[in-house]
Amino acid sequence: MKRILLTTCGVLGICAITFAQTRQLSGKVTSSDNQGIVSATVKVKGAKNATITNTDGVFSFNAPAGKLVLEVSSVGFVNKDVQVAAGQNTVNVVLTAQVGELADVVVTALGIKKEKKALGYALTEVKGDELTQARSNSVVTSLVGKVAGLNVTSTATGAGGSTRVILRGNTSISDNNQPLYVVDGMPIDNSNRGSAGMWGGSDAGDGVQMINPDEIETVSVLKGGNAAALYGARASAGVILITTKKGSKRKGLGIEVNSNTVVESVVDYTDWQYQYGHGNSGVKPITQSDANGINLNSWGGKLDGTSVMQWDGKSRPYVAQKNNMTDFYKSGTNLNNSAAFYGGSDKMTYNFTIADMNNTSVIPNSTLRRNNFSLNLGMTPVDNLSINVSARYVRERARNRPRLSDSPGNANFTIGIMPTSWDQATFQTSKLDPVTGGEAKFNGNEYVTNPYWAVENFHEEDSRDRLIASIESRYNISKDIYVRGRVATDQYTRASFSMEPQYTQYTSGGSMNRGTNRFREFNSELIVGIQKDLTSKIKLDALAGGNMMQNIDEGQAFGGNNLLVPNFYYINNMKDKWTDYSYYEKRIHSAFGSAEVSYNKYLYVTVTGRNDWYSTLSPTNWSILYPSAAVSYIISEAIKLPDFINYAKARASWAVVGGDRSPYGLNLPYSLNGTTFSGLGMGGIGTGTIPNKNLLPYKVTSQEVGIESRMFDSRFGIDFTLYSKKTTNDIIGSQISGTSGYGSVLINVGEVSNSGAELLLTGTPIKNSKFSWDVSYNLGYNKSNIDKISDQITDAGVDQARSMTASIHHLVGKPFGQIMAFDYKRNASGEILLNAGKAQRGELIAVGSGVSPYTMGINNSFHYGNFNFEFLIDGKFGGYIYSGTNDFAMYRGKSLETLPGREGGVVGAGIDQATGSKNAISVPAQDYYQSIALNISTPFVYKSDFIKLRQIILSYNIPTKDLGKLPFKGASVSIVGRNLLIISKNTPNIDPESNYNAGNAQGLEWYGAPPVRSFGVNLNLKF
Amino acid sequence: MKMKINKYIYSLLIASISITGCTKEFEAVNISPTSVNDLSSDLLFTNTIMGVSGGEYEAWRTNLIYNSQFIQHFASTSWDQGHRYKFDEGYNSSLWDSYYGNPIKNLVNLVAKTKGVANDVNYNSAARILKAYAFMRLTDSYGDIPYSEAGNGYLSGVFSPKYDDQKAIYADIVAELDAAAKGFDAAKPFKGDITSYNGNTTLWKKAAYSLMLRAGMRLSKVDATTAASVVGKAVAGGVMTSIDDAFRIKHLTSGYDNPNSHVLGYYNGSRGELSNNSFKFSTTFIGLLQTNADPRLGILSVVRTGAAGAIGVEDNSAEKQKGLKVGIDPTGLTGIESYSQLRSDFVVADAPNILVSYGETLLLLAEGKERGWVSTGSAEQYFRDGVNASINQLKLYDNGSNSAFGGLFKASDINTYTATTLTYPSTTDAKMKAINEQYYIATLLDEYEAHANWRRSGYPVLVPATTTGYSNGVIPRRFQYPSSESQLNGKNVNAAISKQGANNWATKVWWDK
Repeated sequence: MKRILLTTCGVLGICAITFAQTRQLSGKVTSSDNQGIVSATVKVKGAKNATITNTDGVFSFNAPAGKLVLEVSSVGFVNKDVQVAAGQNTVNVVLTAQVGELADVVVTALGIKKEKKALGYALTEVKGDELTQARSNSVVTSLVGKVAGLNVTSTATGAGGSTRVILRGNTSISDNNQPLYVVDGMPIDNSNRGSAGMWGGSDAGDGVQMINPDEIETVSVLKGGNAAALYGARASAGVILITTKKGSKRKGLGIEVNSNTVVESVVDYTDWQYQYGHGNSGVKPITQSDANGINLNSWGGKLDGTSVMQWDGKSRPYVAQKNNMTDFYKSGTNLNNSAAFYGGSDKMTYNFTIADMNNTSVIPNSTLRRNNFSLNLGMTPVDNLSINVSARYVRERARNRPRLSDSPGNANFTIGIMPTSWDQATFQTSKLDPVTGGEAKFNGNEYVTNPYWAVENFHEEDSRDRLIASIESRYNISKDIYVRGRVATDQYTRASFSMEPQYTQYTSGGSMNRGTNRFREFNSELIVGIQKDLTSKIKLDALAGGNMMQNIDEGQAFGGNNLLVPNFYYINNMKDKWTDYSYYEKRIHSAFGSAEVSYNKYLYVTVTGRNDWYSTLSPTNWSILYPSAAVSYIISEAIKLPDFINYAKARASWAVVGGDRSPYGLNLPYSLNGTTFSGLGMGGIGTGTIPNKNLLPYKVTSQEVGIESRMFDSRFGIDFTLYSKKTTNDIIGSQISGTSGYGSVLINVGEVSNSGAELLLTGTPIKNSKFSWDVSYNLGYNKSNIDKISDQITDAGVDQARSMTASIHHLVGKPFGQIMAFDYKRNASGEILLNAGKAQRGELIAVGSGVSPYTMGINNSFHYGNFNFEFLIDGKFGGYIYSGTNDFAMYRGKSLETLPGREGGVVGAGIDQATGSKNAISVPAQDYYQSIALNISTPFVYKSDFIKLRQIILSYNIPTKDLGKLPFKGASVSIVGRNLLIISKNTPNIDPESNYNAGNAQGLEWYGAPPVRSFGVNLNLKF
Repeated sequence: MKMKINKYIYSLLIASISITGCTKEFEAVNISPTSVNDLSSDLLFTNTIMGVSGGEYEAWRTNLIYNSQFIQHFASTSWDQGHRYKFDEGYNSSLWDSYYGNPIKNLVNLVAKTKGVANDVNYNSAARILKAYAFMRLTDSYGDIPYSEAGNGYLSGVFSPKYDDQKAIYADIVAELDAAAKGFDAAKPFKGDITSYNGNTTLWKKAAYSLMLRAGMRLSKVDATTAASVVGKAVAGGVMTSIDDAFRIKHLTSGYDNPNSHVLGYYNGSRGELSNNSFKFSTTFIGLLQTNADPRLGILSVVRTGAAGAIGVEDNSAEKQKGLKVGIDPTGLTGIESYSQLRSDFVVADAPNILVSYGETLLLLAEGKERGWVSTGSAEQYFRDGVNASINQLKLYDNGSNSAFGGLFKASDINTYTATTLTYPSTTDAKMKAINEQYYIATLLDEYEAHANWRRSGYPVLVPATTTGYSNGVIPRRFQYPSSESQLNGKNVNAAISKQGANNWATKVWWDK
């Protein structure tokens, strides 16, 4: 009998396959602990008949009648031959797991599982359960300190902020340098839809933070181009593969409920002067117009408790107000609840998870809520065919994301610089102007906003509704050859609304804007693979395939200024309106292949190649090939080593990968203004960046070598990697002199090199039947160097701080992202030159990189009976940060440094420029310190080194017997804490991890949201 | 079975080939639906006019915070950086940042695009005049600046433009104005003109030569010979002859409002600085009007009472007018409402932005005549007519919204003042003083020009504020180069600094030496 089977293999083709039938042989392959083994190969010895098991380990296929031998094999298990009698229709096989490193199976590029020992490059896998207890709201922040060489930087904005993840250094001067995230085979968008810059703004979060940690089975970190080479054009900054939890066959419905309740509180690292109060030139304000006409200066008189006029026209005691920060910020909460329903039968498995994350920020009225719904279905409708559906819907709602950096609408700024004698509570009680009903004037600069007006009257909200889904089908054409097709999509709609209220000091008319972004990416991939024993010792594992990617980002926005009718923030109520539409589309088509040849299970050689065709390049340049090669040598299998060495492996690899390109970068665009001049259209050059027709994607060539070993009954392990990579043809969106008419130019000549080392040490110092102690230490070091920017440019600006006295530049011959600051004016022998007693601006110098070259983490985990205690300490070293907070605090007389000379003036240390001798001129303290704060910035660049107690978890697994008649099959309760303590830092008044954005300009701090400590309880129940 | 599998593999191969083969549509995909590769010259032209008029950014910072207070037209309480000589990097560089990034870029591009295009001669000429105007404002403010290579980042790939000598810049500006004026052709298209000229090439020529007169007079101190020849050329070319000839850019109540009004105005969306009592006339300015018994005191100056956000009551009674002393520390200042400020009619949203006025032009002719560089007319008549025009041209601000505004201009008072009250002195120095004091009053709100002419002429004699500030107690003579230039164009800016002098507010520009 012949049967025709129709199945779709992705969208790419319809296949028709035929079979001959003999007898139906079925059964189950399990591990020794009775778990079904997925994708085990079941083959009739000496014949072609073969199948693979489904997600429950169940197989069923047509086998010849009569006595035969089944060869059963699966990655991570010892192969087994099983005798089957004639007429026997069912057979169950138990496979023994391989032990130690030999057994590790990891998810590699394109979602292909491989034995870890076969890999010629470093790959770190983190299990999902490490992300859910002492959780942070973004999966990637939970990876901090856990992966050697993973450098994570958060933004100072609270929950819902974006995160910068750098693997093995910043590869490109201009690209965003963040890895590609892939969820169950679907590359997902990680765009940051808004970030704070020099002129303020809010961080609108990134894409990966929408993934629910509860859904994650494993996270595979493909650190270099070597591991990620099969992603070609998108692999330049590494790849992070997220594999979600699948169901498995079991009796009845499995339910797992996890509930995490955490309280967040602000940590106040400030230590200001509290001896002098609000005022100027040592004088206390007398009238209300004195008090609200000057800036937020703490240059007033000595705090003496007398009654002094304040901004709102009320006199209050002139005393120190030390608790403004802790009084203004509230206690926040973060509630995470999730439930997973899972189970399955022979033909189908499922896992359905729902989750609710509800964050109330420490910043008043700022909230974030996220709901995740995910479904993973595994099906084996017929023999040799498996279909997996992975679908997740995420709904996120944010309200009032805090404004950061510059002052307008930024409550953090005003609280941060609040004069020492003012109580923040007065800003709530006297918030309103009695005449306008709007924001009352409280200082001389209308661009500084009353913090309560900012958090209570400004309004912002945004939502994202996202679908990430893939359908993958795999068909085993024969025992050696399979074909796998996949269609996948990531799409979301982001809708945002924001308004600035009428009668805000800096915008009396009020404004609103509303926008919608539609993002869509589609990927269709087809792979043909072969896994064949060429001889008894040589095995081939190869694949070839293609991928089509289409990426569309479309936006519509409109808004207006100046309300016609009060308090009605609707577009038709705006006197002046604007509209905008944006559309970006790009495609990449790819063909790729990979071949791994192994010899006798101890030598593995893999070569891969991927050719990408880019729509964003001109036809002469758009086809580019990315090759790689890797070798793995299991020394301990090949030669006899001393007994104490359980496992030893050496590896080496080389790869070339590329960088993505944005569309429409080839020609000079002209654009039309949004509004006409009484009907006359007007337009001009629509870009501040000079375009370039001959652009190429940049290229990253990398190599790495490494060793892995386990010793002393695997109680001690080491994994060490050395790597180097070189970026060429880097596209430089280099800042150039504004007098050219443009702010930056795109050129294709940049060169960057990175080299470094990654070390992972694991140990089990104590292990006995009752107590064990595991410790894991990782260290990453990356040295970057800007080799070339262009023939003309050796210095490329990235961004500037609001003070305009500090900026981030790339300098040839220096590491990525130097913080540039103005030094004091000095004479030839380095002494400070004062002019009329005041400091003067000297040279602009590169103080150091805003990117820390050293990252480390150490995790200790103690098990005693059912108790488990672990704590994670992490740190970064060697980087710098410019603190605008400290610079501006000096300018406003708030910092401790401004105390000397308040009475009687400051005779500045240095040389009088006019006389050439030691300065003897005394100037008032305010003039002296303001001249420093305004002109000189090196004193405010600090080493950003820190060591933090990042997380602690104390958990108790309630023994099943104690659960008694309760319906639980398992239960555990944990006390968890995150960001509990900064063990060491060098930055006064701020947390050294306070960058205000996640872009390439790292190392700038300017009045962000305060650091938060969280502490709570995690409860996990299984039914 | 084997054959079937082979078929399957073949179909896969075909699928793979089709993946890599369908790149045909790639070029179409890479065309942006939101921008074009070209725009017609009139659309570009309109945009450059608005670019020259500028925006709030530099109008506030360079024009009002710095220039107007350096020159003691105004003294601000909230924005005292100008009259107290306090340095602010962003304020200092705002004109530079705004002009190079927008009007200079688009004007250089428009001039290049229209060069040699027969139908575009009028756009080419008008763009060259606007470009000359914009560069004059820049070089007067900063001295030696990128000129010949500026705005050329795309056209010729110059990313770090060299700095040209101010002398060479002025020579080229004069040549450009002459060539541009001669290039106009009334028979050729000239659309999109949102200046008061509305596409009239005759008026554009007058603007070109009036601007050339200004450029020529600017050189009076440094190079009298060149100044004389440029002034002669300008007069021969034909300068403006009536108040309505004033070269001015139109603005609208909605969308494209006047940049100064945006800062000072009372309307929704403006910064409302007058309503905040933040910008006051200085004692110098009020004092000059009072000493002269100038009828403009009652036209320009008011004492305003009322809540913030509305015009309130504006009282122009002569006895109530008083200025705020420059250099005063705003801390502890009381009764701020009692100080005079600019009447609300001059900061309406659709106020014109006057680039070159008839009154100024006549005053320049008066000085030129006295110096012997202008052959026709009488210096005293130019002076008296110039003052008369300077007063009457204030009516150009009348947008019809205030019916009482016209009544402020009493023709008989004005004529008596200019014909008899005002004395025309006899000595040359006194004449220079009288003419340039009038120029100082006539250029209120065009603070760039007021600051430049004061530096050139030395009149009125201003007493610096009693504060040291960033300039050590002297009225700043120029703006310093932005720190972004040391960061991004270091070699060229350092060459300019070593040639011109220290990069600070005290160093004089070439024509001021």
